[in-house]
Amino acid sequence: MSEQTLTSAAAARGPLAMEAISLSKEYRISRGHTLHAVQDVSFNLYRGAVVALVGESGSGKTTAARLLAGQERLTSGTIRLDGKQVEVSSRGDFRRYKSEVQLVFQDPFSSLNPIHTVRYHLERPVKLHQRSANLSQEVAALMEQVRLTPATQFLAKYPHELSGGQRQRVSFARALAARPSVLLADEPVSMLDVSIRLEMLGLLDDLRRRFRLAMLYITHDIASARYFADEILVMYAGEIVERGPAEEVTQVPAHPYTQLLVASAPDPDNLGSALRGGSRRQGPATASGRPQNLDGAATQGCPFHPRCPFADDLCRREDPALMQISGTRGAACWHLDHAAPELVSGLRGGGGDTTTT
Amino acid sequence: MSADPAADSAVGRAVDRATHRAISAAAGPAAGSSPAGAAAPSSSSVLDIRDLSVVYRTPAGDVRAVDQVNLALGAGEVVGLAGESGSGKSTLAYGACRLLRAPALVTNGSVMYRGRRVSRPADILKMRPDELRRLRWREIAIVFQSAMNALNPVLNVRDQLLDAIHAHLKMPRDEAHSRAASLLDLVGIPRSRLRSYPHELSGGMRQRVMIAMALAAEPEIIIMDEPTTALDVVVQRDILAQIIELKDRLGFSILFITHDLSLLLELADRIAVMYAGQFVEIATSDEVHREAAHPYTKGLLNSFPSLRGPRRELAGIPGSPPDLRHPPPGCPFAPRCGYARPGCRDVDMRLLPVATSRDPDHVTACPFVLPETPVPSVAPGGPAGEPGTP
Repeated sequence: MSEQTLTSAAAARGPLAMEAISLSKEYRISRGHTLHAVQDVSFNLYRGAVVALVGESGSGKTTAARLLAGQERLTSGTIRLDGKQVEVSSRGDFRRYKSEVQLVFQDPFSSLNPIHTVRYHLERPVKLHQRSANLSQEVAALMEQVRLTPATQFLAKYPHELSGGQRQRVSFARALAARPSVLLADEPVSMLDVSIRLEMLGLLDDLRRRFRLAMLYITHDIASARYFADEILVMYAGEIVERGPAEEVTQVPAHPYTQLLVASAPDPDNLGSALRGGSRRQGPATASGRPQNLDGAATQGCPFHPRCPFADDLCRREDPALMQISGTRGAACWHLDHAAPELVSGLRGGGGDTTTT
Repeated sequence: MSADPAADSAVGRAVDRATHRAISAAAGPAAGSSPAGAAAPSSSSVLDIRDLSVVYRTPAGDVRAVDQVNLALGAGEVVGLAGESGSGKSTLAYGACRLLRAPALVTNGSVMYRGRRVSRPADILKMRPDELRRLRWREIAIVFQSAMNALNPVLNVRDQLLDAIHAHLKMPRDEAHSRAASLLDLVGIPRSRLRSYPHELSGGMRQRVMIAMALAAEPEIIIMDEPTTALDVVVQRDILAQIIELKDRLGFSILFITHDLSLLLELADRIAVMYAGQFVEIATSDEVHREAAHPYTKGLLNSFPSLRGPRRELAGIPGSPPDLRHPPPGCPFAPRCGYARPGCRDVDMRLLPVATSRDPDHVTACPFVLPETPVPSVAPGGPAGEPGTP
């Protein structure tokens, strides 16, 4: 399998913290249909590094995070934390696991309890996860870490008295209260105003550095992943269709779906050519059509084939595995030689056995 | 190309866009002035908002959500309203259409509407209820912010479209039915979906249905309030391309409200940047992109990571918007501004032409900063998302 030989672009940052090995999650939905929310997904998280999981809604990104956070049971696959397989069978296990792996939610407006103060939101996890800690000192330190100062002023406030950015800071502080080694951030800035998103990503980056957090950054905004992440994993219909170093994946996308994502991002440097020209965009792939398995129908073949301009009978019949493009890059596509000829031609010099012509 | 009935009836509404360069109105006199203020309104604008002020009455005092703003929307033009949440962009649009209710109160201004179907210009703010009824949806339609959830969950798509058609157009039943079907064609949804209920549609499809409803009465103006914010980039782009195509075909004007300036740069003809209830800069998209003058606009431009080109150092905008109950004196952006100086307290927020711009309609509220003014070296903190070189 080419996947095993692929090294994560995040690996250079620090020691391995968490391994997700062939994770799958199926949901039974009506009339015997099964939804494959996550299918055979593998990746590693390293201390001090950011791995971005990019894809559209319904692609399985959030389910993947919930699996890692222990909030959903795996249908199959293995999760390892610091080399040990994770078995969450009792409440005590779950609590110990949560003190290592924390999840930050997308919506700061609903993830905080409206009837409790900021102090309550932070004291509870500190009491749960660090029994010996000096409570007020610890809470004050958390507030300082997420730059909610003066702490005394904010601690007495209720969520509705805070702005979106301040609420999300409280969410970050709450996650940090458990002193985790792994932080799973599910669209942590997409509900916030554009002008404060960068500041929040900057804060997350600062926290990553300070606590050497292994971070999974889930987003549909591939441009922010370019700036924030070391490695990007592109997910489509529950599968990872492309992975590699953030800069490479965004600048020379290999998979037709990644190409579509990149082409769809607003491009102010290309004024007037696309939207304002009045004509429909001629993209590398058609935007219409939804991933098939969102409707519960199990797709045969490559999940992207209904929207892919390069699709042929092979794509409709068989789902391609991740093919290695370089030491740190791979894409699951039968026709990389058409989709990204410039990448594959370099590859023929190296090891040609990974593609078919 | 006008094969479908909706487009046919729009024949003769072809818009000569070149003649419709609306004049971005310069600010009226600072103090409460007569609506017939300084700059003469452009005769080609379909909507002319002058000196509009909206306050929210609260026990703790009035919140000045929109403060004496002027904006003209030309026929066939796409004007983008950009700004953070709470900057007053939605309040401005809803206030201009009389869609606000207490505690919001329009305290000042006029909104002249000059549609091609109405005989003479009329001030929306002075209309009687029956006149407003005729105006709404027929002349000005709105795609609401939470459009994905704005559909009635217990009615199917066809019935909701019929609702909109019968409420605003006199039309026999079968004609209305075929119109509902052709509206779906227009937004690229298969007719087979007419009997679908909202929960059976994806978010993008629901959004398209909302746009189809807005088009039902062939309005002159469509106000779009963050219509694609909840959608994925791919779907978003597809819908925006469709909106522009429809606009070119049917000749309506769009007031597009969003906090995503990068989107507006591609989409809008002209962009008005709003901060704390006032405009800080109005210019064409190209001017905003190439030579943004106001520090806030510059900050917004530097707030989104770009996918293409070299990795830039990104700054964002530190701090948060002012409390509009007690706005700071002078420029409300000064507390967050990297260029701030003592004189900022005396700035009256009057929009003046940018001295170095070739376009006299490029106006800014900042008298100190020009497009090429370098940022002072004491840049405010907040490191950008620069995780080092991967």
